[in-house]
Amino acid sequence: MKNDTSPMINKYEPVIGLEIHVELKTKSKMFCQCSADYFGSPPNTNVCPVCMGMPGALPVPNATAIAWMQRIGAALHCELVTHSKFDRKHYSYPDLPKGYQISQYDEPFAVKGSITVASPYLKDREKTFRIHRVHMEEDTAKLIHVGDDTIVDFNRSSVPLVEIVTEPDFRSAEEVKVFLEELHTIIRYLGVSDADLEKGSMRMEPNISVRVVSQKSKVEGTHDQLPKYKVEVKNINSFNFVKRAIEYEVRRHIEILESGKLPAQETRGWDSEKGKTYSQRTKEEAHDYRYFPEPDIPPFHFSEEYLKNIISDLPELPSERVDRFVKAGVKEMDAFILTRDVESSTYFESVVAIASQGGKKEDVMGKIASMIVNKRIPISLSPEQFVNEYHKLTKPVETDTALLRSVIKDVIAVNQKAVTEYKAGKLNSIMFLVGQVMKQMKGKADAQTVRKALEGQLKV
Amino acid sequence: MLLGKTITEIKKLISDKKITKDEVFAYFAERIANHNKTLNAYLTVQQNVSNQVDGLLSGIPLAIKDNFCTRGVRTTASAKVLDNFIPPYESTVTARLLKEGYVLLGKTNMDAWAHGSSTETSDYGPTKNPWDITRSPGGSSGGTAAAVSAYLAPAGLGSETAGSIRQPASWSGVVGLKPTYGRVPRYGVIAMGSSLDCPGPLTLSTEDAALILQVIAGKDPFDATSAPQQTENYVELMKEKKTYTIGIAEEYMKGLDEDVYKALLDSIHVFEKMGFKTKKVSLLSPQYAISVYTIIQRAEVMSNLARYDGIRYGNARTAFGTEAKRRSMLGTYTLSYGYYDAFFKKAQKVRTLIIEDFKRVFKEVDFVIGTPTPITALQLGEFEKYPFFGELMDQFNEPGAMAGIPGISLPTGLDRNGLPMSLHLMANYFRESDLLNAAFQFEKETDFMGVIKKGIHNFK
Amino acid sequence: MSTKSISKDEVLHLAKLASLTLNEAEIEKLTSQFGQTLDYIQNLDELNTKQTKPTNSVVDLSNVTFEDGTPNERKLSHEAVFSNAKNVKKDGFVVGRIANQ
Repeated sequence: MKNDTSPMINKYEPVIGLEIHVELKTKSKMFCQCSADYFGSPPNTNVCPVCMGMPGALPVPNATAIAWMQRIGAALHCELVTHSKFDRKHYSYPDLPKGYQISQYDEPFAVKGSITVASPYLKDREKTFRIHRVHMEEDTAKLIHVGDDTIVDFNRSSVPLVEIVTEPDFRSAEEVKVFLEELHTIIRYLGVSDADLEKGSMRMEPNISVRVVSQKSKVEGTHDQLPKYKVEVKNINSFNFVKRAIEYEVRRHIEILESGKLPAQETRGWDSEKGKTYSQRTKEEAHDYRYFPEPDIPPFHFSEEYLKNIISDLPELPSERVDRFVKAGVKEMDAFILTRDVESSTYFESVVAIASQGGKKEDVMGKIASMIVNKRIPISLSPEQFVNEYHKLTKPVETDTALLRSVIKDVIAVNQKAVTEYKAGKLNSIMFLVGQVMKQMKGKADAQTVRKALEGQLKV
Repeated sequence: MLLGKTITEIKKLISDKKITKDEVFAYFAERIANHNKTLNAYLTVQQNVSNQVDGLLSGIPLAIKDNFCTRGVRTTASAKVLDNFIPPYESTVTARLLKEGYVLLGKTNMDAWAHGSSTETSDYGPTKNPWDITRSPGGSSGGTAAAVSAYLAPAGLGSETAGSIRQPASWSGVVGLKPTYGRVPRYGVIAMGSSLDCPGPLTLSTEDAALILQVIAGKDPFDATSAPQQTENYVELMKEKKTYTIGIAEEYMKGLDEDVYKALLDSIHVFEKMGFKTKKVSLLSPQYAISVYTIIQRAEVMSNLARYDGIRYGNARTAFGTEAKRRSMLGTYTLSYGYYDAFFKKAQKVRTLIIEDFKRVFKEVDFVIGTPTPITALQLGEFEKYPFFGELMDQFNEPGAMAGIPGISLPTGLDRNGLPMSLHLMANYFRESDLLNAAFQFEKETDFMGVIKKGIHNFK
Repeated sequence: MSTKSISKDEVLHLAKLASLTLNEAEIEKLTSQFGQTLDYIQNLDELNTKQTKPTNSVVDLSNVTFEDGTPNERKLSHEAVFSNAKNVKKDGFVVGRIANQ
């Protein structure tokens, strides 16, 4: 397949939507009291009649799971609905013990949200991606291959699962990666899930299609129709793989479209070793899920006040934290890096709290941020130890003024070219001279002081 | 000396030390050994069981319909798919009975999966009506009804989705109580119609029914649809002298066998003699409830049978009987993509109409009187001829079932063929104490026309 | 006799959706009975439900939940988990071969 498709890429644009599943780290499962912390447990040691779908078993929903699901919806700026319910979604598969999954069909807990991602990696530095809906469901059991057999482990069955569906707003693999990373960070900030891609507590499935960029789309207010097909890609467990899988698919689709055909609407799996997607024959047919309202679970009604509280109780979200840091004097890029996970930003703020004792935070935040990001001081140190090192590095160095005068004389004498340039108006040349002086001073000089002295000497 | 003694009477005999718990159990065990081969009321009979717990049912053995999961005791729902199923858990209802000292006599035959009104769809052969063994005892709780009627148990548990307690109580000549939906929890009852199933007692006296209800009713944290309303002391409340207003709806008096009709009119006179008022009321024709019930029940059935895949328990789906398949498929149809609005949603809307209809009528009257079945026990094999199987037969039960209101069936005499007839009273939600009160008065006044006293002698 | 009918193909499709197998006799019988049932339930069209809301449950309940972390009274022992299974391997329930997984 051609790798160089620049003219093609200008002709086509990807249209991508995402489906993300997040396993909540509640104590109990979604509909029973079995532990939701199943990862690593020996098979079938974390089950009861309910999550095993035994005769006569009934589901009762986990209150915290629902509250956390609404928290996710709120963090994604969704509308939290006042009336909601669960529905049964029917299909036949060995990992689905009841023969149906308790999910939500037409009245999900949250709808119509968006997040604006500000990232140095985005073309326009900032883009808003819309969320179609967020709903609650239960996870399935796990199928494990043992030799020629497949066995079912029900430990994971009925763990609370939140499904986030976006609008098809993504136009590049990079956008998807950036969005998923931001979403991942948000979820971790909320404390509702480990969102661990390797352990499967966060799963993502892009729905990919490609369309011709029509002239019309350049005109504001009009939009193209959605492509007549889409391909779902599964089995992706890292953000890098998402990017590569999408890039692969986009190229594959373009090739098919260029040959005059339409890519098949199907589900494909990502093979990370081969760097390709492959067609999956299973679950391919259009499903008739025969949804109907779950008769075993009464519906939900939430007061406006209750919903308002969910929103006001949200912790500071990553983008808000970035804004706060930047306002306090931290460089945007540094602020972004420091807020990518809760631990880093918490550490940073601990350091700042100690370092700014007796003074203002804004005076030190920018510098400390920079030192952390540039690894000037290791973050393996405790915050107290970090601050000690920080003080050492930022203590103004005593300048031997006598020595300074003679060294400056020498440096000016030897570097006439730079001096001439500086005097001619190339002000940056002074930095070279400062460097030379600092070298000769062998650490016994403060850079600011040196620069001032040089400027003084070079005044005409 | 025990023959025909009610639970209440047996309790007194035990507490007066006139008989031991073991002797009581042995008595019924012997009757079962002698007569169950003929009647096929029990599928599983217990040996050597005892319960040391002292409570409201100390030492009382009961017949339990085979759709209640009884820990360590085979539970089949009369279906080959569950031929060897031994639940490792207890249904809430039987757990409550155990806490009050009851003993399990055995698991009784039923229509397989409770799909039927004659116990003929059982995968283990039909149960015979003790009044005439060429006839059906009714269904789906036919096994319990026959066992109690023939005194192979002093009382028992059945379940009603739409008639399955009251109709067999009627055909077998015993008392049958269908509580308000949600009054008695469903956890551990093999689900048929999730929004309809009601566990309830079949007994030889109204006081026994009140006693069992008292033990099994009440909120269950394992059943989200179980009612939080306080339960009452039904045994006490039923003995307070009260008079009520009985509604007579023409729609519920149509198409009755002439003997059944005459007995019903006679019974109304009895109530009037006791000081009750009667009032003409009008209700929606039951023919609509038949359709509503057919659609909703079959959808829930399809869904509730989806879990039987033979992987964790039971046999493969190829072991399903024709009736189970028939209902599953109609359920699939009415929930299918494209048909949901026309069938299921429409049925749910008419369900609302039925509920409002009863609410309106119960503003004017305390009860609506009728009969749970227009005819007396059919010959075995006759059902096959009726295209709609149980639905038409249960038409007088289906409206109440769709609304979730309670009802009680009481014997009113024997017809020209010596077969039991009955009336039923339907009441508003959670009015079980009033139903039992009126029933108790009727029993004191008529002694059920000697039906029960005669019935226990059908099998020596 | 029935005005509404269902084809044999539709019956087979429904059986497949519901994961059921039918023999020839059952297919015949069900196809005809289906029509009769579909006929009958048309009577609902006689009722005007334009302004009516559907009832999903007869209980007057809402927001029924359990508290996260409630002790698990129903956890199944190792024995109990497998006590009714026919085919168990390496502490898992064996299913038929699944392709592409």
